[in-house]
Amino acid sequence: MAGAVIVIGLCLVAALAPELAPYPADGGAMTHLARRLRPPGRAYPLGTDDLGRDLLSRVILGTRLTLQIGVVVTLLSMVIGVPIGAVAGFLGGKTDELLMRTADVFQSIPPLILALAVATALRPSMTNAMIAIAVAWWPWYSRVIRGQVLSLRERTFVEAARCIGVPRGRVIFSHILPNCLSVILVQASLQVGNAILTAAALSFIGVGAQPPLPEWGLMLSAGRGFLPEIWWYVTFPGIAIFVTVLGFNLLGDGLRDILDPRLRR
Amino acid sequence: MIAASPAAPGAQGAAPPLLDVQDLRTHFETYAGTLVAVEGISFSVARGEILGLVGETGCGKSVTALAILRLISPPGRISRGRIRFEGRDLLALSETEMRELRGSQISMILQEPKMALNPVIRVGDQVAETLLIHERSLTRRTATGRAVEMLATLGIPDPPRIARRYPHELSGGMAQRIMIAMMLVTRPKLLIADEPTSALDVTIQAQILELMKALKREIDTALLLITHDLGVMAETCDRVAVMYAGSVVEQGSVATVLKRPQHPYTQGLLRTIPNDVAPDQPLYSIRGLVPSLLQPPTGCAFAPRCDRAMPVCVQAVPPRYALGADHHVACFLHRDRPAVR
Repeated sequence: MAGAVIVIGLCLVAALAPELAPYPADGGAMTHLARRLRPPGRAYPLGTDDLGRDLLSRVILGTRLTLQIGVVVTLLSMVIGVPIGAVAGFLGGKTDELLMRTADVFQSIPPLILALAVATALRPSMTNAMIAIAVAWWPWYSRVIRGQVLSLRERTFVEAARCIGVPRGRVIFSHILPNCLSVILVQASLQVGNAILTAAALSFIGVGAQPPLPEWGLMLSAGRGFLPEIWWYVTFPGIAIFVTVLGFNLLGDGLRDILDPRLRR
Repeated sequence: MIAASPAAPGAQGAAPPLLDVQDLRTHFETYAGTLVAVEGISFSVARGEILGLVGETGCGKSVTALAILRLISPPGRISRGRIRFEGRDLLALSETEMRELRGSQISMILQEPKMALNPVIRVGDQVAETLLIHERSLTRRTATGRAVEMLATLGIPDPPRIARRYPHELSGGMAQRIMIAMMLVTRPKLLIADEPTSALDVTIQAQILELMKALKREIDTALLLITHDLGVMAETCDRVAVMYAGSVVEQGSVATVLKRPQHPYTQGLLRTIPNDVAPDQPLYSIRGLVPSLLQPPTGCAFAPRCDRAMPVCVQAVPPRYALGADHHVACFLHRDRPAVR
């Protein structure tokens, strides 16, 4: 489970970030013009950026932001998408049509473009970028959950629940949804990586996290003007994003293999 | 002896039956056409009585049960008839009123106990759920306590421990006990049991039936037992209604129907029991096949398979003829008797 190792490692780094970063103050708007754009060396293992801030410190401190974005976006799109999908799948008929066609409208616009539009409309900030991504992604959950609920609602235990007079809402949320938990978990862990990537993209374009936050996408954006000579400015935040997204994807795949016996060898 | 019994419940109009089904018809709209699953059946269950609904697979027993609880989901519909429970017309109740009735007044045990329990909820909590839904004032703790007591009543060893198990950790017999606990913990007045023992081993079957009979006495509930097993019926029921292709063809006390069956289908069904057939003799079977419910034969549904069919049998649907106070047969062989409406 390489994914689990990477993700646990990231969590530890995020938790201990202020202790791990050699120059914790460099996470902010600090400037040290005397040491700007230093290549990786002993004092600054990953070099410094155009304001003289230590890149290692900023990458480490950025872990917190990144994990926060990944988790918040995933939870938010789950909170919107799961109930909508569950209700649509259970009730069927007109409700299903209405909810799923609404989801279709959201899905008909490429998620990045939609998120970009929403983030811009809301005024660029990290919080708004997270809201924007969740708005673009909830239909994804709705579809997966709806499919699950469609098959679960035909199961005998649902009939049994109705035989003892369980109200419909309670049938959906306390009898059917707990059975979807493994699917939700797998989808969520796969989505964290995606959310991080999209948030980085939004920051890169300028509608996500704003300077001086040590957000990786923002660092890429700031560093791209210094390529190719100042290669370290974009390489290390890029590697950080790569490893994080890979970690969450591996974790999601691993969880799916464990929780879905059909894929188990 | 039973036919002459003067105090047949419900027959005199003194005490109304607990459940009274009149002329119930249900159909399903399918792509292949309208499928009539239940065609105008009538029967009643008195308080504390065990009525057996017997018939082959697909004759409409389960649909009848679901109709009583109003749990037939689209494309199925109740197209005609009246279902009265304690005098209330169930088909006229609102969905909320109906929901309050389910599980508290009328409960239903389903066929496959292991499938009927929610795989991700501890069985004790599933039993407690019935209580929590119908007695809002209960705390989760008291409900769980009463659930555990109920498990003890059902003869489950070490109930607190079993209550914390998940369904996949239980045997089929144990799962069915949990199911029974779930349905009886609120002491409903009517329990519908749809093939409660079909998925179980023969030895467990007997235990479960004994248990249901004992519980029925203790909490004074009536039982509508749906089965295709004539042995189960003979051992358990007070009265029996025999269904064929969506209709009740004969009903009466168990003793009457078993000893003196009057409908050719019931007679044939009873002859299929391999009681004293010599080892080298072929087993008896009713010739022909169950008719398609999409294109039911005109007249009596059993006529194409009946050895004693007459011209009238394929022209008209036979009404119910009364052979005794509580013995009705839907067959033209008895048209000299008074018809029941």
